Amino acid sequence: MNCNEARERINDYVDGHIPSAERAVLLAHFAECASCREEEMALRELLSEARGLERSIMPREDLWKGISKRLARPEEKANAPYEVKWRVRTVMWLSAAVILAFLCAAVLALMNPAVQPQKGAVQAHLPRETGEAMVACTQERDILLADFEKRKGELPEDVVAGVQGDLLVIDNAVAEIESALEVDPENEQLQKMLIMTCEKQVGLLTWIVELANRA
Amino acid sequence: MLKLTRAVVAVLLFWNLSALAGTPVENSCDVAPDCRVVIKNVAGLVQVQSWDQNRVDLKGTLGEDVTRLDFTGGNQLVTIEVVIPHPHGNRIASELTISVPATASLDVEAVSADIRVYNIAGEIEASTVSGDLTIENAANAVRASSVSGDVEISDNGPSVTVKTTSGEIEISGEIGVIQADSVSGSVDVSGKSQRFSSETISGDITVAGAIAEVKAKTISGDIEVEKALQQAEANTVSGDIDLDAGQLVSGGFSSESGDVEFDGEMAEMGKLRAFSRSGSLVIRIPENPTTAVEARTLSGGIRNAFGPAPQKGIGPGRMLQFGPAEAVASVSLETMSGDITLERK
Repeated sequence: MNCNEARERINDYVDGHIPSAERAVLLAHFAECASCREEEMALRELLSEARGLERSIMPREDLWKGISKRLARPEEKANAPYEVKWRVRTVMWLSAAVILAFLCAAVLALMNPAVQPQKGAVQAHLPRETGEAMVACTQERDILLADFEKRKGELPEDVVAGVQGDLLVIDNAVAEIESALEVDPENEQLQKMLIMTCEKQVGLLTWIVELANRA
Repeated sequence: MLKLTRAVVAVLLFWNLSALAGTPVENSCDVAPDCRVVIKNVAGLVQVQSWDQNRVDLKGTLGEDVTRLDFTGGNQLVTIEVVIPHPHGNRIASELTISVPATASLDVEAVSADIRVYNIAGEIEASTVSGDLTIENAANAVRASSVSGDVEISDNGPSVTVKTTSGEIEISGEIGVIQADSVSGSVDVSGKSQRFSSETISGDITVAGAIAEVKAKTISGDIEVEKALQQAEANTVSGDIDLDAGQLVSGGFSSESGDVEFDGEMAEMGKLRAFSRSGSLVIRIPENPTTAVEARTLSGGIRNAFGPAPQKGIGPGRMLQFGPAEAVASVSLETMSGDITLERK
């Protein structure tokens, strides 16, 4: 796999949407290519930050009041030339459309309050308990990973390189277990190992972030 | 001209050597024999050794860019800390040699500094990030961690707990309970222990000694146990498992694509279970009329040195069953595509 092919697949990889075999090839490329690895880390960081943003932004409460007040001024209305009236009408309709869009978003948010994390191909086939544990573990890992990316400048370069290498080792291990689980999804030992491996990654990142804090 | 060049070289050399030499430090205080000594040094070396006096004694040199050395406390608690500025220069490596009472307990923290601890009978907690960690002849509980530095411990205490990410782990001695975890670093344990457990991702796990209970898990590393006395559990995804047991009471070994090899004896009530999806299983046991053997494979072959030939069972695959109906010991083997071989020991 070359860099162009890897970059085309990074988004799907980060979302957990590529098959295990392809994932292993991608991970092998990351192990050799620092720039693609950095791109992957940057994307994870971006996603993590995006997750922290508010899901929707409501308009100011006095927005419509202000618009209607200005529209209701009779002297302005009567003396306004056609062009101005047209502008006022456009603004009014646009404002109404914006408010309607916000209302729709709010209704949808109420109907589906929690945004469910995307499940990877393997996670979808796992028993509920293991799948949930993996989703929780992956979310925790992503937060820590973003934290690590922010704080890694506070650690010695060789340590950061070593940790990044070990994170790839763990990613490879996860891909390997997921491949095995595709063949044998009911295998409890493999399920335990998958969780153990993910927890290992969380443990490693927690530890490294702690060290960065201490430094 | 030559004289001038020599003079310049001499001045530069002197300046350079004085920079490397660092600032000598020395301090000491009286303490209780069971005191706790806390040591923090970012870079360089921390060496701690026991002596026959109830005093903590420090000798060493500080790097040129170090702010100061704090040596505080006394009696029950002594704290020694190399304080560096933030941000700091390159010359912060400080070397500390500390003598403490043999029964003192230690808490040593470093970043890139190596840690060496000799002949301490109190509890030891030591952590470094990229430095190597050596603890020799300890006699109590030891907890050690490192990110990329190697860890080497010899102990005769109740427990040893070690974690690294890429650092290699070597543990020896007579230790009650051993827990050693790493990501890519290998784990190597020798000596005697009641219980040993280890989890790695790609690091190999090697156990050579009289260990009563072994639990080893790795994803792609190999597991090799030279002498497990009673209970052994080994699981890998793609690594191989090679186990040599004394008198196995209970054994469970599984690998998805790796090979599993067992060479040992079954205890009177012993139970051995082994599984590999695509790897082979090789089991070497002495002939024992009280052991029942059951082997199944979907598409692999079965070779049996004990006599009975494998049968075609109900459905696909082959199976082999022999031994007395009221057997007390049992061997249960299963593969999907891997071969099963039963050999006489």
